Amino acid sequence: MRGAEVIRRLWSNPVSLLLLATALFTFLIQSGEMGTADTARRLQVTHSLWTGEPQVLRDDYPDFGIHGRHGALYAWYGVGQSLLMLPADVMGTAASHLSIWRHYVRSRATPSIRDIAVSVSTNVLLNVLTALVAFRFLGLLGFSLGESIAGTLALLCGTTHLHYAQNMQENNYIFLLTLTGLGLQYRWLRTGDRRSLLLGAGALGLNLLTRLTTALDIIAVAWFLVLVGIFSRDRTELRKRRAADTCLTYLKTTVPVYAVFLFLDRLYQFVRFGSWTNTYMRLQAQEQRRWDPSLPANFPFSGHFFQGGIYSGILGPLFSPQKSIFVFDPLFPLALLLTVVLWKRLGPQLRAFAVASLTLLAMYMVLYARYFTWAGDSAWGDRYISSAVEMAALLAVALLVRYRRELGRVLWSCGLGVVAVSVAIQVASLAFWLPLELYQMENVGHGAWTIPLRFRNIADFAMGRQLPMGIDLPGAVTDPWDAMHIHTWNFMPALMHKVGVAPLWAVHWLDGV
Amino acid sequence: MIAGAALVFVLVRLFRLAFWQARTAAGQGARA
Repeated sequence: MRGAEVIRRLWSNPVSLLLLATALFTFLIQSGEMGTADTARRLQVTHSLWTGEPQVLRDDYPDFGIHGRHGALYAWYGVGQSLLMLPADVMGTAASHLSIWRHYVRSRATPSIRDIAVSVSTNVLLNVLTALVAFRFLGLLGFSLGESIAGTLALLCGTTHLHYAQNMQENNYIFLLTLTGLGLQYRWLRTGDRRSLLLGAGALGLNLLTRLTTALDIIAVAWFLVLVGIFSRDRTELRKRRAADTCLTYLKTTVPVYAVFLFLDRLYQFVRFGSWTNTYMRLQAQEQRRWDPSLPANFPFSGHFFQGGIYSGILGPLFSPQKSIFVFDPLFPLALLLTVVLWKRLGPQLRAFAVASLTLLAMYMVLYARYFTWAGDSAWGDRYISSAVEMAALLAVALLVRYRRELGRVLWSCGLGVVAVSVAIQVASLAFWLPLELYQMENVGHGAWTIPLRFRNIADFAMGRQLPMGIDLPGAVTDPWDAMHIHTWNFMPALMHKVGVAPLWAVHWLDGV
Repeated sequence: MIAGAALVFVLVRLFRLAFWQARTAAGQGARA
């Protein structure tokens, strides 16, 4: 009776329904694989944490791995995502020993049982938590229940967040922790609750273990809080004195927390490479220069800010056909437009968020502009800045719904059109394994617009036609694993069916679910 | 299929609660 009452309440609660819907669609889009070699390597680091296995498999070197203390091979990357995957890795490893799929495990087919357990459970967990945090944050910014739900669903299904919920780079984990830190620290600013500030600092500090560059997120969150004060326009003497006290409390609470996480990151660096001060980027460059002495002295930051036009580090993320954030995340230009049009109607917290999220994006763009692969290839879109873009796009749909009447019929309709296009683009990003278009462009030796090419690939594959740009010709893809993956829908039942090791009943069962 | 059907079911319920019922409640509040 009690159980039935709980279910009835959950069924009548929009928030629990939002979380349930998020869990369901995240489960449905899974491929059962890590999605990229980077994450597969980070999972190997996870495995090394609790088993006797090395951080880097011998076959991976010299493509991957740096010689560290005692001449051992160590992985680059921070330890954050590896720690995140630890419980799922233990669970997945145990599950792979069950006799029910002994034959499948022995065949070493992909996706492996361990990869399925890790990717599905981690991605569903991250997405559900992100839904909860985004919903709460939009509520804190003053949006109603419906506006917050629309904004949250738009974030999850209408931005590149959807792609990274299938292909588990570090992006969505970083996004979740940044949004959590932002929400909690803003709650402290509004209520004075020190526990929120402490927990918010903990979330932002935890991010440092994944990538040290998330120090920019810490700066952006502090900048957001400052901007809330600036846009509040209350500049009385009492307010100024209180602002000084608030700053002092903020620094006294957050800096020690950040220092602890920075120390943990440095400790991990010392354990691997015997240094407290260097970064894995520098060591990685040294290692790669050893194999390729022709690399420039400033490698990997050997790119250019503007030289190279639309393929340069600054203009590329904005305008290049392969990576433009306006094309990959159409909600971002919509958010920009709505912020400008509605600026006079926006409260101080919304103005502050719009400016702070754009600042974060600008900082990331400048930071990665000179990196030799400024977009982090192989990746869908520009993965180094996509989390910041998603943050900047967060307000788009919530603003659209709230100011529907004020915007007028034309803007409202255009806005809905952009949302529909954006969702279609994100859904298309799930259809194939992400290097397909990269292979195609490599094959013909020139660039193309990635998104239209993806839609063409979907149409051709669905109708049983040859894929464009010669990708189906013999020898176009030499690696058989890659060839299999780019010729299969990137969803778990399709992959298992294509590999042909899993029993058909299991594939049909998965299809049924 | 099952998860897909469940998703549609949950989304319909969610939109009913979040938008339709909220709008109805707001309308009743305005009339009162």
